[in-house]
Amino acid sequence: MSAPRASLLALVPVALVAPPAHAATYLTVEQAQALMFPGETLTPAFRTLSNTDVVAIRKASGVSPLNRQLKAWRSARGGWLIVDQVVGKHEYITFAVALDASGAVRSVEIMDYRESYGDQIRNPKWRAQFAGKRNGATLQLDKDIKNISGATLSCRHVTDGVKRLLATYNVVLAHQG
Amino acid sequence: MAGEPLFGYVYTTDVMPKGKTEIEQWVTLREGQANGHFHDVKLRTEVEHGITDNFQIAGYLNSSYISANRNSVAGTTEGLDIPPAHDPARPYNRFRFDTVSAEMIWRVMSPYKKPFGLAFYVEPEIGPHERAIELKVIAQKNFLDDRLVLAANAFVEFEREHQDGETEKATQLEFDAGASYRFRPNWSFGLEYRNHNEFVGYTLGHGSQEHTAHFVGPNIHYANQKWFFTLSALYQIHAKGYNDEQRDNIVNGRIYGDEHTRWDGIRLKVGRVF
Repeated sequence: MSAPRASLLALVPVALVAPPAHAATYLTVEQAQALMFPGETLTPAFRTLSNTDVVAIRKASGVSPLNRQLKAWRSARGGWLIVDQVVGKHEYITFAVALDASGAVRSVEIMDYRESYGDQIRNPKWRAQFAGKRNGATLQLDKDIKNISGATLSCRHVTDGVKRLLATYNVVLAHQG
Repeated sequence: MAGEPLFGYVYTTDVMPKGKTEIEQWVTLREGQANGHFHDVKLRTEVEHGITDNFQIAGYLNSSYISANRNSVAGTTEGLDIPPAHDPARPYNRFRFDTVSAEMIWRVMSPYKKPFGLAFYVEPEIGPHERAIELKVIAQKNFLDDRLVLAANAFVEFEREHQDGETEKATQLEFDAGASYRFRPNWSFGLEYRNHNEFVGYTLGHGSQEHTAHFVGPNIHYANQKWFFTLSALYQIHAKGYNDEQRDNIVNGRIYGDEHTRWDGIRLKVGRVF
């Protein structure tokens, strides 16, 4: 084998075993629960999305779930906390969405963000745009959600993620007693 | 380079955000000609900076090291970047500073907001032996939550080389394309392709075309919050000469002479974001 070919192939196992870069965690799940549902008791209500759920969510939101494991907690007052991930520039962005008992967004928090730039999506004013949004809302950059120039990929993916979780709520959680 | 590079040769429409700076070091090995040995190591040190979120500038320092012996089709030491005055019966080794160059990229459409991305690029280059200007169009289309990136470039470069009292004017026309898929967080793997065309003088007419050559190869890219690297290896798969001199430099369907190598090239880019 020639030296150039050998040197290239030598990188393949490195790619398969190397760990992701160190995470920048801004909120743990417990901290997100305390921040988004202060003083309320949350009960885990995890679900595994079925094929039918995935198809319905994709049809309603235009976005496919990244993971079939739905990490949701129900508050004593009927609200929901959902923790999920979207694709970032290099790694996954972990975020949390709090919904009130009627299914409207109360708040959105960025829990993990480890990209070179674009962390302006943690800005409270940008995240506040999602408050009150329901399943069926447009949720599109430069329409009902303002973009942050220089953080476009993160803005779009988080916006798509919120839209997907509102559809997920409608398909999987809304009709539970 | 347009922001963090997914490819060795193909540019994407990503640019540095306003106020952000990045430093890159490139090492490109152009390896192997018709006979003997030929190693051409090109070094490029780059600083790029975002002026706005859609316009970036960059500056390069370019240098190279060449080691060649009996590399030509005739078994003599001559050809690619070897001065005409060099004794073809002797080996040739030298390191030299080549050029400084500047780069400006203006992105007019972002692939994250529009159906596809589009950017324009200009790179003037000047040095003791060479002056050139490169004009490029960059297109990009993303799929699968932006994890699959398809990119295509078309560029024209007008260059003037001066060595040992001889001056050559040439035009290069190139079409590049690539696909890169992020197969796990931080890591992308892809393929890229180059079609390089050389013309005598500053015209693009078929009558002045010297040759066309095709290159293809894989690449791998890693990036985290601060660092990245990209390694690509392009191999010459086919070439065609349009005059006798060019055809004389083709062996087994690959062209060497003044222009190309078998591996053209193996490129490593290492960068840091500030």
